[in-house]
Amino acid sequence: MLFPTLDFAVFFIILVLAISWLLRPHEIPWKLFLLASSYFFYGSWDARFLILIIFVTLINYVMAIQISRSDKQSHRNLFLFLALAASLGVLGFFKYYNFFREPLNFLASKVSTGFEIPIIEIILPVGISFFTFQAMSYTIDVFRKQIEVDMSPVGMLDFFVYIAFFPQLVAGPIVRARTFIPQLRDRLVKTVGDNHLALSLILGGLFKKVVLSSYLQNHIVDKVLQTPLNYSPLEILLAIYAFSVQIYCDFSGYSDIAIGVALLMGFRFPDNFNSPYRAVSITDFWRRWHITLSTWLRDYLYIPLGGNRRGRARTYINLMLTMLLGGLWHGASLSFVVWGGLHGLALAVHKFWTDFKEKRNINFSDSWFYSGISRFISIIITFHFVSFLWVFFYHKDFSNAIAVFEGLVSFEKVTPAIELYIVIAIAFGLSLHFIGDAISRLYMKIQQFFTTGFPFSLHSLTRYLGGSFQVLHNTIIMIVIIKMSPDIVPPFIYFQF
Amino acid sequence: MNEEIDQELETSPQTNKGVSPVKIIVTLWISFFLVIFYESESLLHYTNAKKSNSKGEVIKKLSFEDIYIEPLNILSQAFEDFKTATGIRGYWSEEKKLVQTLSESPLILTKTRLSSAPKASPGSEIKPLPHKPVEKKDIKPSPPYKVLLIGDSNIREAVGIALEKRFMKYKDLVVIREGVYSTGLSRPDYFDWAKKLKQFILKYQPNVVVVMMGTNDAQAMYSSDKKKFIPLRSKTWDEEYKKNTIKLLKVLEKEKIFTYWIGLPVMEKAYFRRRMARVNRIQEESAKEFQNVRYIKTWNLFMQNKQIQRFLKYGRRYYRVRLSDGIHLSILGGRHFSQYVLAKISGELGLTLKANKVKKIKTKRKLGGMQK
Repeated sequence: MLFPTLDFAVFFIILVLAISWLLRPHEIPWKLFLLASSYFFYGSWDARFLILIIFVTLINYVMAIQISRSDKQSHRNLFLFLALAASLGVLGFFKYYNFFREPLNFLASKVSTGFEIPIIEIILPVGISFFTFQAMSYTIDVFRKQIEVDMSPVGMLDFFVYIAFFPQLVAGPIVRARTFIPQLRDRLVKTVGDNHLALSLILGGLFKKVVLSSYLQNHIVDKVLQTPLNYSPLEILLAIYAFSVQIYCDFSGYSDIAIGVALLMGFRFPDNFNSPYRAVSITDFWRRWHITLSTWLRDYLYIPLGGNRRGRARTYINLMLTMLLGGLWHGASLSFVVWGGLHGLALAVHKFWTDFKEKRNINFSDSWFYSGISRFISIIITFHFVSFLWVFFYHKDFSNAIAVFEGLVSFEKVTPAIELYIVIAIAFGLSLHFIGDAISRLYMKIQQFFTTGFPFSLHSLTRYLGGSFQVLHNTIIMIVIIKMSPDIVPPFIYFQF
Repeated sequence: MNEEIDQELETSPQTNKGVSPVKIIVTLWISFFLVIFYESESLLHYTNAKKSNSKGEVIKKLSFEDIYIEPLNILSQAFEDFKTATGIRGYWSEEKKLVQTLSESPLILTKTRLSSAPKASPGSEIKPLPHKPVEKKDIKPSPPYKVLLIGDSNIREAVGIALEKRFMKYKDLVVIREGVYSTGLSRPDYFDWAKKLKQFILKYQPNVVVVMMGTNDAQAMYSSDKKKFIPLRSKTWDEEYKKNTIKLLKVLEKEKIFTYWIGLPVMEKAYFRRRMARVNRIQEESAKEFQNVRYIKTWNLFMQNKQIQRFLKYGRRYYRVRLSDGIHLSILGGRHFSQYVLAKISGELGLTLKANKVKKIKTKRKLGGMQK
């Protein structure tokens, strides 16, 4: 069940939203309903995946209880190890089996002839990377004594709902237990806090995904990046920009819809994006792109590795290692390794540069003019670096990615044919980074004005007008999105991770 | 004084007081029904097709759709009836045209892609092709070739990409690929290939057209006078489908364009295999009625000893022929497929490889990459 489909519209608008608010005063039925609808949502891809998610949830819960019960440090270590091994084992088997089969086979053939690791046809369960990470964060937090395990049946139900909650299940944002479980327990919530924000997030997310992202994918990205040798360098460059905009609109659109849907159900999720292409450096970029994953990697990988407290060389190595594993998290292929490695290298270089600047006391931002110029150049450089690396994201096959760069520097005489609307779409997608906040603020102000903010105090009129305005406005935007959408909306890019 | 203002602000409705969920749910429900009202025509078609398709299957997979398809069908039918009764049906038909005009983007920098010439072999000068090629006894076109690939998701994805890449290796040849997802011949009300092909011919002026479509065609369709709804199981479906196929081929005959019609390869799922065999049969029959059309049969390409071939060996490893849906070919499957098809086409047209391509292929093979 994908977000921009009729299936999901019926599932969420007609059934789940209403029933969940109806059941909310009754604690256990409400939570059971949330769990059941989440499992239904997930099982609609393949019912067999449910076994997997229940296994991961159960093992993490049991191990978390064991950790909190035992006093001996060695026991706690053992239980943590078991939980992590099980979660990573599931993740590793489904994601990396076929990637590592070949090299392992090669080694095995050296040791003894005739032995071969069998081919297994594996379907990758959607969202497996997301929910295993969420479950692991819970166990680690319990191990670090940052949260306590609630051993009552209701507490167990809370944990199950936390892992499976359908808005964030398949593609994030990766929510921490400390932010989510208290919200599940807070049953005083009887109203939707910010419905204007929720609706603007959902409709804006749909627009980004269904209109912008799929337009770019259908009209330039697939065409050009699949057969780069057929196109001129200018078009390839445009296609790379287009893919940057597409992947941003795709993923942030998904996150926006997820956050909005959760908000309508009375939950607040953390932000996942903050105008990433406005970043002035690669470090800044990772604070703005897929924030929940970067903070996850920081808290559970970079800091345990030593962070920046073990000397400068170790800091650089830790950065590299974190990003390399972060790249591998996206999938098992050489392209992702290269992608993660280069990002790690860039982070290390940037860290070195800032240290160097501090040491020598170099400062560019003395006058507003120079600071403005340097800021502008930094944004341009960061954007291009990130965009070019997205090519490795697009082509899982490494040689194909190289072919794109070959096409970019080839000087065969092919006249470019550039469609105006594509340029407009890219420019719009990029300008969202600078004016997006203003647009959404204005949009919410308009909604507020019509629903509550009339200058005269005709209470009944406001109420009726407000309601009908809300209906009209939702309908019109939905129809515009439907009309502008292509016949088949390509699936979300991040579903494969 | 300031404190008073602050207090006032806090209690004013502008601050986050929260809205009752009942209000939001009712608002969303009404909006949802208004959207259904507006889109009733396409929804009616969608639900009808879903219903008639699911009847033919022996083993029915239970899905969430089954719960709401029936009520949605009734609802959209009722809305359609209401629209015809009140005479507002077709009131918004203008917006369809608007969307269509908007979907054709103007070009900047150059006028058409085809003004760019391919790297020609020395000596042969490339002239712009006349719109209608001069009539000859031999219907085969002469180089330079402009090949237009059209079709559905197969042409859009693996098969099309592989064909395009393989065509690009030949001398005196330009290749353009125009695949449109989820299109075919049974639903001209939704996407009219005959009309679109005329536009493409005007735009690109090809002298060879390669067609491959049909995977989306096993569905109910309207009769050509748009009055009757023909489910897949009725016998008149075959005739209607043939009409549409011939309509497309007549466009090509009129322009005297040499055409290859690529048949569909065998499918993995049994019920879909039967349907595609039927579609293939009709397409082949129609293709044989035309002088300028060659039909390339590929049904048995992925069959071995009457068994369906699921894997292909490449190097030392095995790869899947198809994606998990059992319909679309994988990248390697597409390469294998295109190799077979192009062997036939290049033999007939007498194509020769570019000199530099031969070298490149050899070096890439040495590296052991996936490039073939």
